[in-house]
Amino acid sequence: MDGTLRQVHDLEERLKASQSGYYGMFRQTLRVLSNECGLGHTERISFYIHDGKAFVLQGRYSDNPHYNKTGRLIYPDDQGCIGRAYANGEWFVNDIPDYDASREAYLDRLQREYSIDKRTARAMRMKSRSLYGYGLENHRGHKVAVIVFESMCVDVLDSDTLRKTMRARGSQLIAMLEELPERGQPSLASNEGF
Amino acid sequence: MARARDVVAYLFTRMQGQQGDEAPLGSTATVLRLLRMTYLVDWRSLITRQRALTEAQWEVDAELGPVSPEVIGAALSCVRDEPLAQRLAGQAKLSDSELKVVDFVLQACASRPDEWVTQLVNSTFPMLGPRTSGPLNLPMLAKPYLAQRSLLMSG
Repeated sequence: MDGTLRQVHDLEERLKASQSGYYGMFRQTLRVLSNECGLGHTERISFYIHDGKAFVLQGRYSDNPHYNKTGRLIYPDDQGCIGRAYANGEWFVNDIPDYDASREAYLDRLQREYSIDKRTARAMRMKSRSLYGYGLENHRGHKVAVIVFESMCVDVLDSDTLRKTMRARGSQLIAMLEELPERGQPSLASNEGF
Repeated sequence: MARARDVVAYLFTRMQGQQGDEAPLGSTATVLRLLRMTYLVDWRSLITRQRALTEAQWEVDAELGPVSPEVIGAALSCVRDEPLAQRLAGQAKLSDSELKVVDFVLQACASRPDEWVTQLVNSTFPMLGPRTSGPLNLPMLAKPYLAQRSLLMSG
């Protein structure tokens, strides 16, 4: 175990009983992944759990504070790269038009291929051009989460490297996800009338 | 809008079985449980009546989740001084529609363990996603939640 991972492991041990520690751990683990994959200020990693008919953002990391901010929390499971990765196991796209150079082409592509309406696409903080999504299963073989790597540039994300990383690290993320019994499960609140 | 201390006192006495001839609802009224149930009362009121039920100011504590100093103060008073809680509950001015919301929360949580109530609170829309301490604007969050809620419901 290298130094950074050991620090993360130690932190996890100290904070595993608290909800804030849980979210902090997710962020630190995503940060380790970001470093391992050589991502920089134009990239971001987001982790979503599947609940009901939607994905809920569970953790996010980018070296760029602007992209770290949380916008939407709930994402329909039949839209975007998240939905494709969930349905197919993984999804990679590396040629989305540059929003600043051709806004209509960008918006048309997201609407046509990913069912993301133009208003929603315009409001997205990060207008990514390249995305890699990887679906994660729990120990019973059920698809429970998706991790999405995004870049504002093309040809930065390497799908082979990311796939290899996720095959090695995916089980750690799932173990963290299942560790906290009091973790929020949005469908529980909705179905109970909250 | 009701006073937070009236709602806390009502919750406390109903849980203890001290409101008229009502039987105890089976769960211990701790400060933390009263805090979480009062939060659920305000959230339920916002998504069903489009307004908070109490005037409590809510904040997010990174570890505890939703907190309100006023609600914590009222809960401490009730837990330490049961006669006071009974008196406050007896004088509480809650309308029928407000009582309906509070009773809904009582019924939802009454027979459930503390861990379940905590998970329910953590599962509400304002508590989703990466959590940071700061003010919690529940009315502002109710609208986007109602627009997306169907995505999270089974069936």
